This record gives sequence, C-alpha cells and structure tokens, in this order.
Amino acid sequence: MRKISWDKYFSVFLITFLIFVIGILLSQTISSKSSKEILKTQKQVKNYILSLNLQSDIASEYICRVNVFDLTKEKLNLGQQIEILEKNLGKENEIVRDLKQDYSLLSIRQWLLVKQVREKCNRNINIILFFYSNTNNSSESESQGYVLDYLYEKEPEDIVIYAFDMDEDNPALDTIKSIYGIEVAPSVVVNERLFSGFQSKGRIEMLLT
Amino acid sequence: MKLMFNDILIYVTLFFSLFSTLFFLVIYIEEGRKVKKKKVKKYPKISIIMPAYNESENIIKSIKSAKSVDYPKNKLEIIVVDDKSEDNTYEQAKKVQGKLVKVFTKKHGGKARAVNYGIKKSSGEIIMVLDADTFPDKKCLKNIVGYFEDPKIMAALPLQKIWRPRNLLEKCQVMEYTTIGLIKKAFFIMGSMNCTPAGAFVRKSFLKKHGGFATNTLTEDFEMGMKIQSKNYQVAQSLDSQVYTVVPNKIKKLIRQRVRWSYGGLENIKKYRHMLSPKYGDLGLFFLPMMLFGIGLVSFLFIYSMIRLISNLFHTLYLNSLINFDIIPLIDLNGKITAASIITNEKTFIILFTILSAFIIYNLGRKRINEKFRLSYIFYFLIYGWIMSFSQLIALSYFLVGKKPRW
Repeated sequence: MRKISWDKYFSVFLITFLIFVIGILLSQTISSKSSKEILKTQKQVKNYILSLNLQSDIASEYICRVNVFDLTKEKLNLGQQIEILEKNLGKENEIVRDLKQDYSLLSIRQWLLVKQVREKCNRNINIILFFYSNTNNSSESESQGYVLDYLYEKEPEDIVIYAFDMDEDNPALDTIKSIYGIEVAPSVVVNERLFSGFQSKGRIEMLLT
Repeated sequence: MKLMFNDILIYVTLFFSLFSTLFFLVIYIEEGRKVKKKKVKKYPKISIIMPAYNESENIIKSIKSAKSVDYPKNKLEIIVVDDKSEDNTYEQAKKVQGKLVKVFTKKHGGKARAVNYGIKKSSGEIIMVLDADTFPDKKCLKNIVGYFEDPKIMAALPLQKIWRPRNLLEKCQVMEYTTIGLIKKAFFIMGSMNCTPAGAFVRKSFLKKHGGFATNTLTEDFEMGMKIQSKNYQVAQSLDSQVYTVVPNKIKKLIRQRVRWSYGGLENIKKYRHMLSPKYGDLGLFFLPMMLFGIGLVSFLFIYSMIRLISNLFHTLYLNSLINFDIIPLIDLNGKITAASIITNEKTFIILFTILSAFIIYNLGRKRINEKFRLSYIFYFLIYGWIMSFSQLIALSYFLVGKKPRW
C-alpha cells in the first residue's frame, strides 16, 4: 500500500474553502451588496419619493420652473443601482422586489408631474411608458428595452421614459394598465397612444414630436 | 442568492483550479526542501539513443550537441537509429560516426520501435532517449545521474526548455513549460510522476525486465511512466538538469501535438485503469482522477463557453441591428453597469486569487530555472488556454468514438 497524503488534501481543501469564504465576504463588504449599501439605496429611493412628493406640491405652484430632465437623470441613477442589485441578488430577492416597487411608485409620481409640466407649460416633452415582462415574451421586452435605452441616450433632453414591470403586484400600476388597456408585454405608450408588441426604432422615432 | 447552472459551473471550475494550483504550490514549497538528490559514487555508463526519421537537417547538429555534454567519454555512447527515412538522414549521420557515435538503420516502424532497437544495441546502464529536435544542456547528464543512486528510481527527467523561442506562440510555450516544470516536480515529490518525455533517462535493467517502449500507443513516453508506476517504482524530475527542445511554431502544429498527447494520456489511463485506486497512493487517488476530471471539465467548459459566446454574440448583434448598429450612445451606460457588476461580484476575488496562485507558481518556476519574465504571459492567459482546451476536446472526442487521431 502506497502513501496517501490525507493531511495535505485536507489542509489545501481548507485553504481553498477559506479563500472562497473570504472572497464572498470581501465582495459583500466592498459592494453595494453589503447591508449598509442596500439600506442606503433603499433609503435613497424612499427619500427621493418623499422629496418628489414635496417637489410636486411645490411644483404645482411653480410647475413651469421644474427641470424635467434633471429629475429623470437622478431617477435613472437610482434605476441603475437597483439593476446592479438585481443582477447580484436575483429577481426574487425581497429587498430587490421592495426597491423595485418603491421605484415604480417613484416613476408613477414623476410621470404625473412631467405630464402636468407638459400640459400646463406647453413644453415639448416626449413621454414614453414602457411595460415589460421578465416572464412572458421576455426576449421581446428586452429588445424593446434596448431600443428605448438607445433612444433615451441619444436624445436625453427630449424624451422621458418610465419602465414598469407588468408582473409587479402594484395597485397604482394596475390602474395605469387599465386606463391604457395594456394587456401584453411589451407595450409602449408614446405620448398617450398605446402600441402593443415590439415597436421598432423607426416606428417610435416617427411618433416623437 | 439563487444559483444558476452557470454559477455552479464557475464555482466548480474555480474550486478545482484553485485547489490544484494551491496543492502544487504547497507541495513544492513545503516538501521540496525535504527531497535531496544523492551524490554520485560512480558515474554509470549512459547510452543516448537518438531515433530519427526524416531529420537530415537537424541530425548532425543533434549528434554534435549530444557529443559535447560534460560527462566522462568512456561512460558515454550515442546510438543513432534511422527509421528508414525518406531523406538522407542516415547518410548525414554516418558522416559523424566514430568511437562515440554508432549509426544504424532499420525497417520503418515508428519511434518506439526505433528506440527499442537502439536499446538492444546499447551497452549503458542508463538509457537516455533523445529526439533529433532535443538538445541536452552541457551539465544535463552530470546533474541527473544522482537520482539513480536511489534504487526505487527507474527513470529521471531533465527539465524541458524551449530551444530559441521566436514567435509569440513559442514564447507562450516557454511560460507553459516553466510552470509545468514546477508542477512535474510536485508530481515527483508526491511519488506520482507518470511520464517519461523527450530527454528522459531510464534504467536499462527495468527495460530488460519489463520490456521496452510500447509500440501500440501514440504516447510511448506516458506508457513507460505508467508502467514504472504500476511496478511501484518512481520517476524523478530534475530542475537542474536541462534539455532544449524545438516546439511547434504554428497553431495547427501545436494543436496536433496536444491532441496526440491528450489522446495518448487517455489511452494509457484506460490501459492502466486498475491504478485508479488508493492502492497506488496519491497517484491513484488524486493525480490520475484529477487528470481525467481536468480533461473532462476543460472539454465541457470549452463547448459550453463557445455556445454561450456565440449565442451572446448573435444576441448582441440582433439587439444592435434594432438600432441600426448606432451603438455609441449606449457605450457609457453599458460600461457603467458592467464595471459595477464586476466589482460587486463575489467571483471576482476568487478569480483574482486563482490567477495570483498560478502566477506565483510560474514565478517560482521562472526564478528556479533563471528564466526571464515575459509580458506574453498575459496573452498566454487569455488565448493559449483556449487552444489547449480545444485540443483536449478534440482528443476526448476521438477517444470517446474509439478512433485514433491520424497525426
């Protein structure tokens, strides 16, 4: 019987295991995955909703002085942070789902404000509502999202886009869906007109003012 | 955190890579000091066997380099066996025939038969098998014979270095051979070295008792290593004794060589499958299963990554076709998200640590044999691994369908 170095296998296994644990812990500490960061993002969204509520009260008096595109940019940053969290923690994570719901409410609140700015101040703003799904027709939703991202990044001073997850359990969102008669994903509402199914870049560009 | 198949695959690969890298490192650092080469009491007679087939261009240079080694000339003989070359290898070799160099020619039958023929004609106690494209270092013989003082050692291997690396592919092989030299040392320290490649020294008494090199395999050197191990003897790896070898300078040639090696490896593991057992110690319990698992994992990873890469490529092309390939506005957005995901991903640290351990192995090996640091290591990391994986996949496919590669 030849020698078997059990001690070596065990010690190297232990070191490898430790490195894995350190790796996971370290990444959690330095990333937004740490509870502190998550709370910060959560708090940021909540604060932002509060401040936007306040903002819309103020804006109702001075509505035409509101810079719509500045608001959108700030919201977009939050959206990106949530997207990163979603990528790392998964769609089913409770914190992610919570944040996404807060984010949807924020989007709805902002959408209502921008609509008012557009109507009352006679401003040339293209408002797009995008309803997507990660479960039904998700590849078409992804394609539509890509086209809309492109249109926004190309003309960030002309377009505001609000994206909503169709599968989200949210009464406010259900109301919007029923107002526009949204049934399938993806659907886009471009300046109050509903288009169901994937819409090409050219088609949406034609609808923009 | 929800684990997807992709994540599991990455974790298994990372664990396997990190575990094996650390294992070799620990063995080399911790155990290496304990292994001491014995002092030579009396220089044994060495017969250098040079099988040659269509080597008219190299043969004289190879014989001269073998003649110039620092070793008592009365304890040395060089036997050139021409395997019925189609060129004038035999005539060229005959030109340098003399007291030290004997030249024979025989019916064509492949390298192993030529070596066995040479062994029969030899009178040395130790046989060195030297391909016509491998050149021994001056101190090669003197630095290795000490290992044969140990009666358990039936073969000893000099470190293989690359002969004049010129292009990037050859330089990549310098990195590979440097790293592998240290890994082979760890194999030896663990009593698990199971191959006798170009430049190997084998005890003639073993060859006489257990037969010469196998003629029915693509890698007779691997077969010899396994045969030695199966008889519970050892193969030693030296880092001080060195030989220089010419390596493939084109990707196609390299792939052919590696397919042959991997196929031969599988063929011989199958032949000696009874050794996949704790009875054969670390070799049977860890090294052989690890080689099999490694070939399987690497081949699977290659197919899987290729499918993903191609499907992602088509997906990206499709998405960008929707915006008429006007991607400039989106670059900033995608960049930000990708960078943040990399930093916040727990795999990043583990991958970095694995790369670091591999780098330490390379660097230790490099320092040990006084090799210069080369920037092409980065290329080695990014591209070379894919070529190796592809070769392993081809070899595995041939093996699974039971066909021998024709090269």
